[in-house]
Amino acid sequence: MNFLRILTKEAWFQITCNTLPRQMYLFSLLFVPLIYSFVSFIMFQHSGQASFLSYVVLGSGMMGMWSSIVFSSSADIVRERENRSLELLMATPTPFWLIMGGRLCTNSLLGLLSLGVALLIVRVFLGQPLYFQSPGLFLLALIATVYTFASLSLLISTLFALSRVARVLQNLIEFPLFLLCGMLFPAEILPSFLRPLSWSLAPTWALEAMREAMTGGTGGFWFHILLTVALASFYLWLSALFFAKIERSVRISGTLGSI
Amino acid sequence: MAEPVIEVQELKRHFLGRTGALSTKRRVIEALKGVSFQVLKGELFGYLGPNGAGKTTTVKILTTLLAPSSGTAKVLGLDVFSQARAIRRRINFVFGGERGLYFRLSGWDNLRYFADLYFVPPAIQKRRIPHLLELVGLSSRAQDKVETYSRGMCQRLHIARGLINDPEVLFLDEPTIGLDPVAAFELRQVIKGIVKEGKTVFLTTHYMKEAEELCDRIAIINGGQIVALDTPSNLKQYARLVPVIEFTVEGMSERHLAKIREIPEIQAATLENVGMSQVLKVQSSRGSELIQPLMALFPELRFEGVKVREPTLEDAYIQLVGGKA
Repeated sequence: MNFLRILTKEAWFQITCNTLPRQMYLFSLLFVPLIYSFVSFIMFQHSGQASFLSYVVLGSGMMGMWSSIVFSSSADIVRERENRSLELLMATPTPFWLIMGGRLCTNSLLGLLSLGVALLIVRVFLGQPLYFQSPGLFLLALIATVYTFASLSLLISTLFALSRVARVLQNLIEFPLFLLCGMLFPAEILPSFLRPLSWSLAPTWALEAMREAMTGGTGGFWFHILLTVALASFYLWLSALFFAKIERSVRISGTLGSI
Repeated sequence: MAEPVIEVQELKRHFLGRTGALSTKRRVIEALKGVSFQVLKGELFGYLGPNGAGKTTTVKILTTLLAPSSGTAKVLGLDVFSQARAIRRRINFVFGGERGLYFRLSGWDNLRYFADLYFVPPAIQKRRIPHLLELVGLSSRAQDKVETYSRGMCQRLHIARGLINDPEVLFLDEPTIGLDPVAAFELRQVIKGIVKEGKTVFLTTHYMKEAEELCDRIAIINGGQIVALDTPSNLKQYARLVPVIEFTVEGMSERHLAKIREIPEIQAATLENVGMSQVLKVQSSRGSELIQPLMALFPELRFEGVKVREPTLEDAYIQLVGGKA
């Protein structure tokens, strides 16, 4: 019961305090996918690939979604640290990973607006027809994507919590994921030594599942969903473990005020 | 006799510091060097000391934010390190300054947010939040965003936040720092109200009048060690036999002050700027006998006045911390 109440409260907090009232966040959430959509459409329109629109819509939408999630996640930690409220949050009986988890779930849900922007641009402004072969499966893949991004960003937020240069880390983490997860180009064209990294990232499989639901695909939808959920759950377990270790170690080292 | 709610025994805490840029050297900074004390249920316990004495380190350990290096610290019978989560539900803390609140939320919403993090049931929140806002005198501004609050109002909201889980022990770390005299007075009234409600309060401050007015007992900490622990009236006795000589002077520097402190018969010496002049306070058992020799020691300075008076709690404090406050 408390668990659900904290998640709901953090969603309320994130919407009223940390995201929608902030112009930079809105820029990242709504304007960035708009640019990505136009640029990727111009890049792909003469590629001759039948499924290029799935790359434009899903690629731009996912890139916008990830940008806004990483931007907000790093900014949240920096803000709490600068505001000196990090210690107050740590001193409450609510585990810190749950506070961050609630906020990052909300970031991921709000990130869906980026996908909405990409869909709108391609359908309305660029006049391209969009078909969803399996709308039900696409919705399922979308839910798995939100879960994936929330758990991956929670895992990454442990780095933000430890680092004093969270904003630099944000930039370092943002772009590699575009390439490694095959958001704009198929992950198969990456050099072979990068492929294992790509496979270990849940968004790679979430995107595959979404593409398959959109274009009809080769029948690997359920396998991809399974991989997505399994990897995301692993991230979640790892995050809870890391947060507990961080809390213990900063209390011993005396660096809580500076995290 | 009331039961102890805070028990600290031989508490030590050190930090590792690093110096140098290229070849870094590690050094150990001892913030607490074996502190022991008890705080009784319903008591307002003062913890006084100059900057860097170890006040905030003690508060952070007792509020579970920092681990002790050695020794034991128990709050409500629970160990502050291994039983932190159980303690957190039953205590709360407030530090000085206006930061720590969410400026884009209203005062009411700030309290509601922290109430949920402390697992306060909604039905209790509905009663408690208006009561706390009333207690700190913010009822009429409850729905305004905190960004429109003055520093004093922020500090009072912090107190309300600190009471949101109805804590059995409230830690106040220099709560009146940076407040104007009226705001500080109002806050002290709020603290008195909290103690009347039966709460135990652990207060750190370096304002002597505040400690004298509020505290049942005071521990004076200096250099990581407790140098005195007693009631305010008993603490004054420490300095009773050592009168204070106050010189009004012009042109005195830190170099002069250091020279005075070297004189063996002088227990403590401080210098403050008061308007256009300076006031040199010297504590010595020789009392007025020292006036002429001291004036003769610095012929280049202009002495405008001198008086000998009875020591106050502040003088006792200065004497105990060696005039370095």
